[in-house]
Amino acid sequence: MARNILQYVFYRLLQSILSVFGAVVIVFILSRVLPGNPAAAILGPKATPENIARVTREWGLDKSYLEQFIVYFSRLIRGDLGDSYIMGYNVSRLIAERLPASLELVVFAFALSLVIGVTLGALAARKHDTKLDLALTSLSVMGFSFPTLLLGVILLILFGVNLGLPVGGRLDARFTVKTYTGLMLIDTLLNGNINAFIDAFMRIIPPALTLAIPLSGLLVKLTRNSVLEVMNQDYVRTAKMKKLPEKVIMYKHVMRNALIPIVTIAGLYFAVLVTGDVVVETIFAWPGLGRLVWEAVTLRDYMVIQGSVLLVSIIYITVNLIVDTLYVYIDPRIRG
Amino acid sequence: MSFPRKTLIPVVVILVVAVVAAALFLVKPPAPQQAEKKLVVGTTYDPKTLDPALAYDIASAMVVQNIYDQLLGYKPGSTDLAPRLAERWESSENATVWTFYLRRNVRFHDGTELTADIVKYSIERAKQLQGPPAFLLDVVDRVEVVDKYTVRFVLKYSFAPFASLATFTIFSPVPPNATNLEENPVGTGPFKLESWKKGEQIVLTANKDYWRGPPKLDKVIIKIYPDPATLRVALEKGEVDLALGIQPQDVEALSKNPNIKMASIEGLVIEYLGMNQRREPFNNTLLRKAINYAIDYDYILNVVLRGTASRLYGPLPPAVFGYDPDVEKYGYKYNVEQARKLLAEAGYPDGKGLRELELIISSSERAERKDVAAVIQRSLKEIGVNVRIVDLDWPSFLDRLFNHDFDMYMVDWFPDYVDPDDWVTPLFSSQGLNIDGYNNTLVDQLALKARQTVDPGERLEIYKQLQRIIVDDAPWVFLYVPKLYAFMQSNVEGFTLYPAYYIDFYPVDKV
Repeated sequence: MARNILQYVFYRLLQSILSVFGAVVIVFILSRVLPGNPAAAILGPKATPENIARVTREWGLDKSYLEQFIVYFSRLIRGDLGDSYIMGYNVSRLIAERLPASLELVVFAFALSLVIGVTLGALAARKHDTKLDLALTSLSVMGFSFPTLLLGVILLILFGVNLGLPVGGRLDARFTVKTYTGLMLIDTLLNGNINAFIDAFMRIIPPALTLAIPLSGLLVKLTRNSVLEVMNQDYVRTAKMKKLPEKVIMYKHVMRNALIPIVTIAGLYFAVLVTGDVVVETIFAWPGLGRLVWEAVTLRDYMVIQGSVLLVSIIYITVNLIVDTLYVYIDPRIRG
Repeated sequence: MSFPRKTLIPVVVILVVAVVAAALFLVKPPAPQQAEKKLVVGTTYDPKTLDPALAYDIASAMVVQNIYDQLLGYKPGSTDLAPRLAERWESSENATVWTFYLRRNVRFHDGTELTADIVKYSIERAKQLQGPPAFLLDVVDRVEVVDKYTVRFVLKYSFAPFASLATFTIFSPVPPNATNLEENPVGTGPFKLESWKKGEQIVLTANKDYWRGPPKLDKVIIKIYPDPATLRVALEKGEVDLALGIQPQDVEALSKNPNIKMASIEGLVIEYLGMNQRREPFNNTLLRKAINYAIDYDYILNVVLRGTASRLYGPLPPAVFGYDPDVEKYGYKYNVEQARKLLAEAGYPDGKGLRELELIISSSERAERKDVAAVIQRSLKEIGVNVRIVDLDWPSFLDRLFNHDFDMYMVDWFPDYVDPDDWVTPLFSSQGLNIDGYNNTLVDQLALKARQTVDPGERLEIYKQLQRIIVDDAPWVFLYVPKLYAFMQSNVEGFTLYPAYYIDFYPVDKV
């Protein structure tokens, strides 16, 4: 049995490496097929053909795509993502600078939506076909279909203007906080600055809610349906006939099995969130990965586009791998 | 027996979270204590690089201008040149040799003294690095060290605007022993870089040994708000002391806020509508004139832009030397009858025989551009000309421009140096960028002559003549000049806007 799992993981790993390579090639081609180039984007209307030509030469963009790819790939297998044309810095550094902000926000938002989504979803299932169920299901559909842009602006105004709470950015610029982890909630505590921590905590709530509300909506619906489905299974009925307490049935028999589809969807959603949400990051001045990619695309900064997409595909594939392995753990039937 | 504990855990967790959240919402956090004088500047753009040889965007320039000094600067709030690192400057009679006399005892942040050798090194370094702004140094043939404090630029051709060019950030001396300037900039300026978290904020600290005396502020914190609406909220909440990059639509509301001070000035950036004279029907001057008369300029200025811009009547904005106020009399004004008449004379009575014209824009940089384009579309519809608006992302838009693959386009022009030459030569000489395919030999000759003429009186006359010719040829629709705005808390003193978008934190104080 153990060998089967190892084989499975090895096979999946191999598959993953191929997928990452495919992503690298596709992004390399796609970013260059887009009209325009980084030299023109930074020079703007001033870009005479000569000016574009020499900046492109300086950046090695005058070489053929194949040559460019070979240079890129040979650096990549040595772990070097290349340098941003526009900013001059190495791409791994640019990503590393943005990653903590993205992670902090996403983990916060994710935890929030799991708590809200699964609790309310389970509640709706237990009280299925009541008014409460109807209300919860309708709310979840609303939450899921709310456009992020609108939700973000509403929360910005609600928190920032109506409630007068701090919004925008990760911390009031007037606080001086030494960076240890890059995670503001932890750094402010490590600095022993409780006021800064409160400020940082309040600032993360509106963007986290903007991300969490749609996901919660999805999870409510998903949990409800999944729980209901499990509740109609034979073994649950058997448990009920055995007159086991309802709570025992709920936690021991129902939730554990109902979790499988939730883990899948939540896992994939987590991977999507980590890559950054440009809308939320723009509205709340959150310096995450989403804006880095967005700016790279608008300036055709190929190396940054390639590096971030590479990171995204690695995260995505890793999460997929973890989710699939978790299945095996949760549901013994898959172990075969 | 285990279930009570299991139910207890989630309940406790939810309760704790709820109590903590409620407590946090009820207790507003105390504002951070301010031992030092810190100015929080909110802006919408993130700098790309802090190396003066590579910087070519307004966000980078704002930081570079405060860490470095350039050879020349501007008088406060104006476009008149002022001494900076050079105490005085002179040019040869034909404007090919320029001599700058450096101020003595100017030191870099690392203690190195500024000398003519360093100026020569810095210019050669920038030329060699070939960054985006390096083309501005193409005119320089060589740099000569006359003595320790005198440096001479020998140009490839006569270039009267050279002194204006010497205010550009690429003319910032950098010490030869400094490495990794993008990361650790070493300038002669009033501030030093303390930290830079890309996409988030830049912290500058005062250079206490600055040659003009220490700045009044201890720190300047530049915070990036990509969304101007969020910047406005942060300003009104008092989290930002000085906001640069507020949208035109917010100007009116903010100007009524009693806690906020507003500064505004006529800018130098011009917004225009270009027409492709390489193709039908724009190779027809009468049609171009008809379009110029057809646009409802007042509607654009008063309704769409709500008074945040003024009318552009010709190739030059009013704030630059060489501007001829007479252009306001002879320039095109909204006149539908005249437009219809000219359109008929052009061979397209009521637009008959005219295909649908495409207007390309890129509204990602300036959101209001979309609304202006819609007014132009409606105005032209009025005289029977059908326009389709296509909104592209910036690189795709530029790609269409450089391939001359457009009917009409709307864009703005940022000057690199404040001299009429930087509007006339690149935009209207066939030797310039020549995006529109406009070709008038007289304009080419006069533009060249003005560039080679040193005497300001003579130059003024040439530019007056040029404005008349260009307006009469109607190669563009001259639209408007956006005003520049800055908003600040009432305790911010000493901030001055410059037409050239030169941002100077040195004289700023918080009282």
